[in-house]
Amino acid sequence: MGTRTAWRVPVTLSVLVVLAGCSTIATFNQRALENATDLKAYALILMDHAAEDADKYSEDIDYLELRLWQAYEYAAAIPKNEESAQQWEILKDPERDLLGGFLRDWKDGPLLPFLITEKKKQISAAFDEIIRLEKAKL
Amino acid sequence: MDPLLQAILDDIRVYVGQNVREFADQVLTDSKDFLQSAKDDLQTWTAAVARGELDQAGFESLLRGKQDLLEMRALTEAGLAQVRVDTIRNAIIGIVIDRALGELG
Repeated sequence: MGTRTAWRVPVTLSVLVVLAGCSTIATFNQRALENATDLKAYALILMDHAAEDADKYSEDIDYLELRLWQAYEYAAAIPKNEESAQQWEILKDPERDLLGGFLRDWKDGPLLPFLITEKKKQISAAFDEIIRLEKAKL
Repeated sequence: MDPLLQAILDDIRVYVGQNVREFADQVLTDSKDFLQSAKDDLQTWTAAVARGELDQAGFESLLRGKQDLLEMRALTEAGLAQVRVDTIRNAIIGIVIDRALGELG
């Protein structure tokens, strides 16, 4: 290596260090993906019973709410994962109108079959957004 | 535009003119985009209300759920843009390595 090019090595290494340390989003996480796929299936099957009294399914509803919180906390604990964490927050929030809101309304009384069908479409699509973003990190 | 969507947009225009004039353009653009994306659903849900298969609270919940879903979609798009930035960044790292090692060799 000649003196003409020797200076380029530390410069190159510095550039690599800077570039490598600047990823803008978290890398793919298998557990995060499984949280979404598992809870999507569980939620959609449980929602089929929402025309009945919620008390009959209180343990299942409590379990789903717990798992949603866990999935949110898991996503939120991953550095540079703000978008995914916000998606979980919207999905589980009882003050909004996706899964958290659906469970809130169900607890107030049985829901109309038409509403259940349409909500299942929305909530399925919401899970798909979480899954699509996680898979894009692969 | 569908008469129902046009009527909704007219109502929004009146509201915006009276209440949020400084953000009028942005609110109207966002409203048009939202109504366009919700067009088919709005017709389906309105017909269900007319048939008595959906009550007003359910209708409102579906509409707000649609808005929540659009917000989640926007977050996905923001994340995908970041993934593309990282992909480009990694490609640049590869180019730098190839060039630097090439010169050393």
